[in-house]
Amino acid sequence: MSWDPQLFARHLKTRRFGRQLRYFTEIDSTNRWLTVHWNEFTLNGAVVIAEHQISGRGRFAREWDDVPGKSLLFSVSIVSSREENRAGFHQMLPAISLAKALLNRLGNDHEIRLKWPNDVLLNGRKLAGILAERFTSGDTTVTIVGVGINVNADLRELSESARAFGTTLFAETGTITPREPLLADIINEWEPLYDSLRDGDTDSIRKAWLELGPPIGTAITRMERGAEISGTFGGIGTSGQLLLRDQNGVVHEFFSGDILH
Amino acid sequence: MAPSTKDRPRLDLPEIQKLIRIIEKSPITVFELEDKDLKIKISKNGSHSPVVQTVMSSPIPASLSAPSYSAATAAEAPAAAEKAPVVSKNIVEIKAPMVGTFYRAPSPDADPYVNVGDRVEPNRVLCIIEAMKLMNEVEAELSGRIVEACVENAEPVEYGQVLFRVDITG
Repeated sequence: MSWDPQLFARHLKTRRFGRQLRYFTEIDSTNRWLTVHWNEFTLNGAVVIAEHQISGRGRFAREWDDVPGKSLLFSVSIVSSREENRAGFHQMLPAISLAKALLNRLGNDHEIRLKWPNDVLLNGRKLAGILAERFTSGDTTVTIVGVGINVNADLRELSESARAFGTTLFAETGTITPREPLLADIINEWEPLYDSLRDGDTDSIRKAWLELGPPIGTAITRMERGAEISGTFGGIGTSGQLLLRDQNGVVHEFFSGDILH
Repeated sequence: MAPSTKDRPRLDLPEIQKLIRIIEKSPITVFELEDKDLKIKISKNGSHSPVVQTVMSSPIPASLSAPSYSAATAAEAPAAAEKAPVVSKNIVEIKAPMVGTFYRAPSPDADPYVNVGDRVEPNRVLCIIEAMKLMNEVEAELSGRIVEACVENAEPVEYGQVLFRVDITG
């Protein structure tokens, strides 16, 4: 499995995102590499892609196993001014972009749905993991968004824990998907969303998310540290937070936690 | 000239504290108030003390504002309601730049970024606040010694809540 830069370039329609790309057959973690090397790139939306991550990470340094050559593993660096304050939306953009890219490819043959804040579910199962990290450097804020998508692996190749809730594009569709056009499609969707966010148009991001998220009124449960609250999905707030309406009609706002649909 | 309602002062900290006490004693379980640029929600369940959620309707500032001795803003109410901040002139408070979940270490089995007694320099990472699955590093913006860690690991924090106190002469 190798990467064809020309095939990727042929599908890329952006001005900045993805125009600078670094490819590794193997790396410790694309997020970690970009955290160190982000300022070697002159364009926003630089992409680092790897066939295999030796120490792929999820939240809290949980291991994130990949199937070498059959996953799409990449990180994108986003550099913004320090005052830019719509951080909560940044890691929603790749989820929206991936869901749109899949929708364009698969149409209505499969159910594609977002789960707050940034999970992409294909036929109800998790297809991708997203880890976003942010730090400041002088007057700039750097956001590194890492994305791992299960593309061409067979379900049996996933780790047991990944198999429990996850799936792969191949397992759901039965076809091999070339990764270069898929990444280009995602990046093509991401750049205009980023531009809207940069310009302060969070409404269009919320709208895009809600079109792909659970319908308002869907029964949901929010869990964190053993505490559980159930109600219905009430949309997302102006900072990207989850709105949950309880049985008394009271709307609760959450900035963290895990959601079950 | 009579002040117009437009000039009406915003709720200040003592007023919010008063409000919490009134609601605590009342049978009300959830109280919400929304103003032009401030939204307060006070809720209580069973034997627990009231939970206050304050959401500024303006977007959450991304950067850690320079610590200051300025009067407490409404957003600090949750921390202040539990414990009035004692701020000497050498002690600087490092406050949460956003609403989220506070983590003292990069992973559950890793060492904390900082411990009480540690000396910190500008750009030293102090903690992570997770907001909507985005891990935000909070850095020290000054030199000093950590004299107090005010929040337990994995606790939710409000915007403006005091996370650490730093002795700048330390």
